[in-house]
Amino acid sequence: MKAFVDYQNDVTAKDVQLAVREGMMSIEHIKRYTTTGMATDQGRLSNMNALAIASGALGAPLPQVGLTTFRLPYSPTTFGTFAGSSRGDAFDPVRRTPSHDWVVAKGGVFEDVGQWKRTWYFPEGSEDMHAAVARECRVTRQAVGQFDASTLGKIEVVGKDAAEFLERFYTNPWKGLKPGRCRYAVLLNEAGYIIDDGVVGRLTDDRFHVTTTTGGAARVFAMMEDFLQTEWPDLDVWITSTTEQYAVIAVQGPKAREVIAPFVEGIDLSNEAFPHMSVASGRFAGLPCRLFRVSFTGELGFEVNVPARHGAKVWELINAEVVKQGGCVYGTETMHVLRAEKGYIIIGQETDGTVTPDDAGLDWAIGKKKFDFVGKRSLSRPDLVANGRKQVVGLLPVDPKQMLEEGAQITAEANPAKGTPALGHVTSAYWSEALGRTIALAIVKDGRARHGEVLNVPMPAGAISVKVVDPVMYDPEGTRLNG
Amino acid sequence: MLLISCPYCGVERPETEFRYGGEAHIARPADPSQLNDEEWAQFLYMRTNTRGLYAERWRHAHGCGRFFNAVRDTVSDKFVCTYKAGEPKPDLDALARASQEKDAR
Amino acid sequence: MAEIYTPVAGLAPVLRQDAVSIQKTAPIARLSFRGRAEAQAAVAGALGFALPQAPLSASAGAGKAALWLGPDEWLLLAPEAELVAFEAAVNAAVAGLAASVTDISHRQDAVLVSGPRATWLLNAGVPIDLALPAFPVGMVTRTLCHKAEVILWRKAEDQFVLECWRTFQPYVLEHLLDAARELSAA
Repeated sequence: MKAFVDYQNDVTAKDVQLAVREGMMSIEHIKRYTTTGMATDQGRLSNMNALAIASGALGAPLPQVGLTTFRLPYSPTTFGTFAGSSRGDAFDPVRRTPSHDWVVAKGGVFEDVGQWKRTWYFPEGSEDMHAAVARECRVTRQAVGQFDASTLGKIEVVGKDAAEFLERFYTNPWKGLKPGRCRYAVLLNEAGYIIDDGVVGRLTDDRFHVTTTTGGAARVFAMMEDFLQTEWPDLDVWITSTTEQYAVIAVQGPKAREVIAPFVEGIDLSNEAFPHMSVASGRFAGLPCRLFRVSFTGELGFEVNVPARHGAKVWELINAEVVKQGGCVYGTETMHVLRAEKGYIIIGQETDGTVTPDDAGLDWAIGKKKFDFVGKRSLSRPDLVANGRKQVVGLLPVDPKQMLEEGAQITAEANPAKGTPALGHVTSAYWSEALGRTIALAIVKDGRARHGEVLNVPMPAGAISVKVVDPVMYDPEGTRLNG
Repeated sequence: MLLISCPYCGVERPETEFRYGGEAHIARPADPSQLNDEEWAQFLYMRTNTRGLYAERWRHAHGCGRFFNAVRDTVSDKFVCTYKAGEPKPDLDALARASQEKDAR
Repeated sequence: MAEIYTPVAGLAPVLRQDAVSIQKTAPIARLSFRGRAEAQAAVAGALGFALPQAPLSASAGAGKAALWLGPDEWLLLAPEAELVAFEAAVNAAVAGLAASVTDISHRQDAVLVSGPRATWLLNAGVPIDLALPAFPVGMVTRTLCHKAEVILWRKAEDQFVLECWRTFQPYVLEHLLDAARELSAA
């Protein structure tokens, strides 16, 4: 028969006696060895009995054995008292973009991205997600798509040493970037791994508009302040978060220029005057605007930045024009697919804290003549220059309708023996409307040397054969970007 | 709630306004290319991790936003003092002795 | 002197009880100013008064205000209609000097929390001492309200301005309204 002392952790009298036989002499050790008194009642049901049994086993009087430390709360307290108003939807801030109410009215489906609600996809009629996303992708590449990009972090970097600071912080060179031009920026940690990315626009000699990933906004800002305050306090440059100052509406697709042209004043939108990766200040529907020509889709694209309180109105104005041009609105799922077709990485999908610029095929983003930047020294560590590192590749399942699962492991063999190390894993997988088949991105050992090879993704239902390819699977020449 | 004294604001504030910043007084090498792998690993990862008085960086993240330094007892979690960035590191041994004398009284 | 923060015309208060009320305020011009000593001194030319140098203090005059947020950071306020002229004036004042001037007018929204129980209500989410001796009239600080970062500026014994980034305001107000239920039940 078991004599229970602690009813929650199922500790018996025998357990307490065993603890003493094993050499536990302090009541604190007996407690931890048996876990008596460590449940939610914090010993209120068990302590005295356990103490008395321990006292007997030790042959010491009760007061000498002593009590364990009492923890708060001393009186039973409800969870509700601790939660207070932090319950339900109020537990965490829920951040909404300027297009939110419009999306709700339209029946868009949201997903959580950190604290933000972002539109995931826009089902029409009886569409399921697959159908909606396929349509959004098709229409965007054929005509034009409209997307809310307001959640991405924005940081205004200002001062005579702004370029010098960015030079030391990101992998890229910045001093030669002319006002009116943009560059894709890669950020490493000091260990040499990619932790964030974004497009940086130079407005004037001493003012840059830096963007970050949605989830990285606060982290990148804090990291910048850390370096500016504690390592380089002599640089004349200051940062200000402008994430919420601007609503950002992306317009992407062959008809993108037709959509925005009716509203833009003060900026020559022609291809010659405003080529890919440009930025300019002007007016949009009479409102102050920072206009970027940037693309995360591989199509002709613009991002309209207007002061945030005007965001909802500008969203609707743009939408009317988008509809006229036979376009549509699209959400984050479509955004993911379109960028994957172009081999553009997403921080946190293709990167996991162990991926270097070279692993990701971004060696070109490193300024080779730069004296130093955050993470540079680590890039020459033996492990980071060794052969056999995992590299970003594209994967085309041999069966063009076979969807891969993100996270699935990749092996050479179809039926690897137990203990076979994986060559890598699938980082992103989608149906590609543009290619009429499934696609995926992955990181694979010696990936770039394996283009054309067939590898396997072992799954419970059987191995899936995949061909390794260059990650830029659609429009590899980039002609659609430069229209 | 643990209260921390911000040397820039000149007031004590609850710990939730602050972020820990690791060991203090570790300068990033001026020319990292001059360090060998062992030395670079030392800078990246090795910290004194003292049991007792420790000089640490803290940031008043949800206040003035400044980084400052603090001497904190890693055993008792007690803040002995805080001081502005750029000010010299206090003599931790002297502080420890003074603290022991104070406790003894 | 014209008050910078005014309730939104025609909008019902977010909360109206005998002892405390919360009102949304109309948009204003907001600039984030950061810079070195010379630029800090020069900004006075655009403000009409010197930047407050005492930590957690504010200065105001002729419809403008400057709030100390950090040793090299101030929030400059002016009427919304003056944004363009104000930003131009500040930039001109610090031209060639080490400084950063950034328009953040749309980044933040504010409410006025007023009444004899304003302090009580704010302390439901703000974990700092708001009693008059510790937080006198005119004091301003960045702090937290539950999980949201806010700016609190005490305008009078019974009135505070509570500012936060726009997308955090619904969360902040939801918590204050929840605490206010306790007041009305008492």
